[in-house]
Amino acid sequence: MTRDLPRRLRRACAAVAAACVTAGALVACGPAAVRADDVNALRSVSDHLDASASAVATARLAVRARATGRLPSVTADATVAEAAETATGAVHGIGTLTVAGQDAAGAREKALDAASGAVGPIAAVRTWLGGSPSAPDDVLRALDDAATALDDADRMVRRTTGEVAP
Amino acid sequence: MSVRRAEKARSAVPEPPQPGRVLDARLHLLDRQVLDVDGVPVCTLDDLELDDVAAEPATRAAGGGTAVGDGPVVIRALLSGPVLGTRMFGGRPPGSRWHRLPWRDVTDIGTAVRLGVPGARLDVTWLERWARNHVVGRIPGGRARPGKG
Amino acid sequence: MSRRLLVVALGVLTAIGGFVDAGDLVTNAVVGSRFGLSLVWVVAVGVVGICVFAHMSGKVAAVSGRATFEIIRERLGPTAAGLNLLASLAVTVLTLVAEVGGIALALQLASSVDHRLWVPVAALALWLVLWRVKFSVMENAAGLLGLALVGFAVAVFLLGPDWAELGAQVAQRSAATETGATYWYFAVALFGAAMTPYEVFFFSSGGVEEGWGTKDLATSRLNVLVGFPLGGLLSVAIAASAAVVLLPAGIAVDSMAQLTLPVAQAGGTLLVAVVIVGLVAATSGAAIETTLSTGYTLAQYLGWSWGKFRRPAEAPRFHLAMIVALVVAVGVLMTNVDPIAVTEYSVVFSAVALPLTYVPILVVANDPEYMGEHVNGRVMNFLGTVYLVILVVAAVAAIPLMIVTEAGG
Repeated sequence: MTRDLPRRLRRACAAVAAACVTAGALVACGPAAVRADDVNALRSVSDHLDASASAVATARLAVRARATGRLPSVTADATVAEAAETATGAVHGIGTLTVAGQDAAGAREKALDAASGAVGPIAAVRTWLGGSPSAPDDVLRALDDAATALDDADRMVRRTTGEVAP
Repeated sequence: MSVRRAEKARSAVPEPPQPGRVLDARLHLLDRQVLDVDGVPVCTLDDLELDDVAAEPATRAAGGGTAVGDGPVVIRALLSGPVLGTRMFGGRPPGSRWHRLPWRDVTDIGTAVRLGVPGARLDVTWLERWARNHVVGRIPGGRARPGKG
Repeated sequence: MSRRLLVVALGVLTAIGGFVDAGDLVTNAVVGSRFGLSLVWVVAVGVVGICVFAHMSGKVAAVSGRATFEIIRERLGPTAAGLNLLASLAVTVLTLVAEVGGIALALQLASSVDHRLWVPVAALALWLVLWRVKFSVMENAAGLLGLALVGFAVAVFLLGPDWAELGAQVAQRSAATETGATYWYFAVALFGAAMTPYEVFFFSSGGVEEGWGTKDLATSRLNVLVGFPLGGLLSVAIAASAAVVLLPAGIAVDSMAQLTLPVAQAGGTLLVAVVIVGLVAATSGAAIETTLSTGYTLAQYLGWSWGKFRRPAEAPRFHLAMIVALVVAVGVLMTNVDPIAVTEYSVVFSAVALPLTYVPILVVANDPEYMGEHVNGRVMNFLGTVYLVILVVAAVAAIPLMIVTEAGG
């Protein structure tokens, strides 16, 4: 009797585990459309775009502060280096998401372009910081363009998910 | 110096009043910090070695919960040993793994149990000595007082 | 008399400078940049809570001469105290990882040397301090240098924000762009950051280190009741500087470097330098305290000799435990994990572990055998019980909120 209970328990555990494995396998082998919830994926794309925009804004603030001599160049460089890491992370994040529908794929494409386009200007800021002192106009303009592109892409993504009216 | 054992399980029968302090072995001794004569922590008190006052020496533990007999008992020694596992999951380490601190060395029982001997001489601190002699004492500055020299 | 005043002033200043650690820095900056000042009330609740429990644990140490974890083991027995020890150690080591990472990130701001390279250097320096420097010296030095974080408050004033709008943010209960769950997730994180569990062990053991007696109770109460609220104001200043500059720019803080941007805009290079000194000091001080706390808890639970007032050779296992803790911290950071992410997780898990560390101290503070006539009065017990409820609610809510919000999204 006392030995029975653990055995029964063990059998129950095994059954539950087997059921979990079977269910997991079935879900994993199901069609792609079921697996990838496009709306959720696009929300995630939107989050990555926000991160990228935040990185661009950070770089912009750093350039402004550096240009007016308010931020030591070492600190500015460290700040922009972190921003570059965030921007690359966003590209990676958007690039590894899967979407099924045509509209969603289009929005994802645009988001990926915008996020990739933001990495260059941020990297250019570090070059500008390392080079001889010059007016930051070109650097800032590139960052502004990147910010606008990110904004457009984000609006398109939100339109696709139905968060904002078209 | 003998301390009447007043274990909770047996206190259903009121004890006759007697001179001195009544200590509850579980409440006042078990798991209490043991300090040496200089106030240096020695170990945590893990168990007690009890003896019937009159009978043959028969070591039993307060932590094990088994009573020696119905008669009065005296504490022969404080015990410390590798008991974390056995205290949590049951059982008792073999006698050879215990370190004994003779009861006659105890000078005071307050919020800690104080001994009248330096801890460095006791067997129970061998791991501390090993760590000092083989690791910490060999690192430069390990034997100096912080902030001086 | 003037000497006594000096000692009191020193204690208060140290308490202010020592209040803020990596968790406070990061969480307040993140919250400020995303929610403005709408979560300031959590800092206030957390500060009152830490005052109550720091005072209680200091009192236990001063009156009984025994540190917290000895008493926890004695009162709860090896099993319950052992589980408590495991949970506390895990959270304390996680906090230590965050602090060492914070030192490295702060040093990177001043040197442009990658933070991963700073990690072993910082850990070695910490060990040397713990090995050789007197307790009171390292406590006071870290606390006083940490006062440089006042730079954040200076920055807020120099920025000349719209005070009415900041005030309106305080009254707000959410931010337009964030969901309710995220708001409450960060509320829990901020609470965990303000009340980090290692502080209880640190205060009680520190009281024993400095040989507090009942006559020192008044001083310790003053340190706590004046120092911590002012330290809490530093936290609010960090959030405010982020709310004034970073929030409108659409920046969500994800690195320590971003903390310097509002300061640069307000006060220029000099103020940035001051703040960086403060960042290094605050994280170093907290790293020292967390390392000591791992040694304290382990040694007190197992009955080892411990304390910085002894030579290392007189407390060898205590020092070995601290070395192991530092090695573990370096090892974790060397896996290239993001220190900011570690910090964010550490404050949330702090919130989870809080009841475990605060319940025993409340029990012990009511134990006449240890406390004699100094057992908790009615007011303290009322406050302690109210906070117990808050702590349990925060601890229970922490993990579900973390899952729902994907750790703050």
